[in-house]
Amino acid sequence: MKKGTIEFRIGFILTGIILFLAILSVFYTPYDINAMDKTARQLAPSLQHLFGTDNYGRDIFSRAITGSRFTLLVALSTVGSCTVIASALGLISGYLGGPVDEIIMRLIDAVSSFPDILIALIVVTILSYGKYTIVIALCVTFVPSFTRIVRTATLQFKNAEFVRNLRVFGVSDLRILLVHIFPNTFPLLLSTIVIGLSNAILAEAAMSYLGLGIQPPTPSWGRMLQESQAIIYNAPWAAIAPGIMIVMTIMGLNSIGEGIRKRYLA
Amino acid sequence: MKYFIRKFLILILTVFLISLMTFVAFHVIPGDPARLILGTSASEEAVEALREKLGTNMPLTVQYRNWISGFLRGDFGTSIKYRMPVASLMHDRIPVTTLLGVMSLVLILLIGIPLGIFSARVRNTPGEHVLNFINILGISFPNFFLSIIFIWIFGLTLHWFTPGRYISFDRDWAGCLRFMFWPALSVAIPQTAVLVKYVRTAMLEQLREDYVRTARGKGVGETAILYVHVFKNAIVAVVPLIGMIIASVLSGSIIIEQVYGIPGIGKLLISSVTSRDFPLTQTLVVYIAVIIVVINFLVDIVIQIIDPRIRLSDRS
Repeated sequence: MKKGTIEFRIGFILTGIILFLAILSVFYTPYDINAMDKTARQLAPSLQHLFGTDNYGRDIFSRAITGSRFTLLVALSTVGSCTVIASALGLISGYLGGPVDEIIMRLIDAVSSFPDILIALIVVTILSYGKYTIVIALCVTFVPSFTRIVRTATLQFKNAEFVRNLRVFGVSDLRILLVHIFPNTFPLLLSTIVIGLSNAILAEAAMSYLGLGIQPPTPSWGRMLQESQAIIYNAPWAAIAPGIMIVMTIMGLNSIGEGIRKRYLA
Repeated sequence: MKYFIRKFLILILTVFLISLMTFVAFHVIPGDPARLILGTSASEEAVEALREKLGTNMPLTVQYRNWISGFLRGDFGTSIKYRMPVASLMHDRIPVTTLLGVMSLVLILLIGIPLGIFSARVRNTPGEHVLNFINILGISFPNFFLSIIFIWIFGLTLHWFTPGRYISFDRDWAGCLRFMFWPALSVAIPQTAVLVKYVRTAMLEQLREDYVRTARGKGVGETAILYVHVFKNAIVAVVPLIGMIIASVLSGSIIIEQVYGIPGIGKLLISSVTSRDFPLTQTLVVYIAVIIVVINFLVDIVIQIIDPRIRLSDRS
């Protein structure tokens, strides 16, 4: 068996389940996610309500799978936008070197001297809550580490034999950078993206738990955990369902990341 | 000595940048903080009065200078929500967060280091897979989910502590420690998982060194090699990690204080963000960031003292 196969299998199964449920929620949920039912409060898991119901009689399964959709969307758009910004910064910084590199890297250093959660909190505070606030907040948080990785990879190839040859042939810097160097950073970038997704999901859940992420009535795992805390003794399933979904997603993504690392980077 | 002076200058520069960036972030935003705080329905006079009070009607450079000189004198501004000096709000909360942080750090080291050594010892056995799995679980569990589970099982079901009822250290230190054990453990577990992995790697690297072969040749037992010879060197490899762990512990406690209802700096910070209490948020952010930078500086100094070789590999 090739290196990393076990990790890939576990990872793809776990993320596959979550992805399937997220897509399913677009077309079908057993119950309306916001329908409250006074007669069905805090019901234990059963065939009618797979994961039980919460304090307002809302179906937790429906909410949990819909929540996965929004959480994944936030994570994907965060990591997507962050990858674009960080790739540009990292490529420019690494390729040009000199004062440009110095300025970009010192700024990156300054931002990353703040712990992640503080950056996210600052952005949320100054932007006031909107639909995309959480995406911007998390994106700013992740840009420094992504930029460093792209820059390091760029430096590796900047003085490689094939790049020097290209220069002799008069290929433009921009073309060298985008067509010849950038693709070489993909394996490293890919594992960074996968781990970044898992970090983004954790961070989004934490921010939503604090009430600073995805805003109600849109369901999100973090928010569901926060709401379940008051009824944890009578209805533990209300916390366990979204919690386990988070754990599964993180485990899945981390396994894939580990697999990539073992197969392509070791 | 040159090394220390350079490190110190970098520290000063970083602290300056932190304060400047936070200040810029909170002041060069579209919109007027006074208007944001009071809402769109407030009268122009009220907004102007608040501007006057916040000092936001002065030029930015003057505002920054006032803010920094206040900081150096221990005047951290006034909270809008609590209508109190920020310094006195922080005064009671700093010891609480410090206690939580220290307890978490102790737990991380106490569990993480032996477990890391043990997982190096059981390499290539079934035990390795079990430990690996536990480790992956530890990394994958968000600390606030873990906390909710702890509150449910150990708090509400087994009654080992009363959730939501923080006991102050001065009133009942034993009760306080018994309560704080659970939040500290919640902060510690994900970090412990990271440390175990790191210690294990450091140990396995050391096991390949010549001195291990020499010790084996002399007939030293495997256990003695691991716990006496390799351990000493692996610890040196772990020390640089301490700064990062402390930073993660502080970040972790911001959320955990919220979950357990602990009246510390983290809870104050979140409530300041929720109530848009700009002066309070700004001060707390700078305070936490500076603490972390200073701790990292101290860790660097300690590493330097215990292992001067690291200076050679330091190029930044």
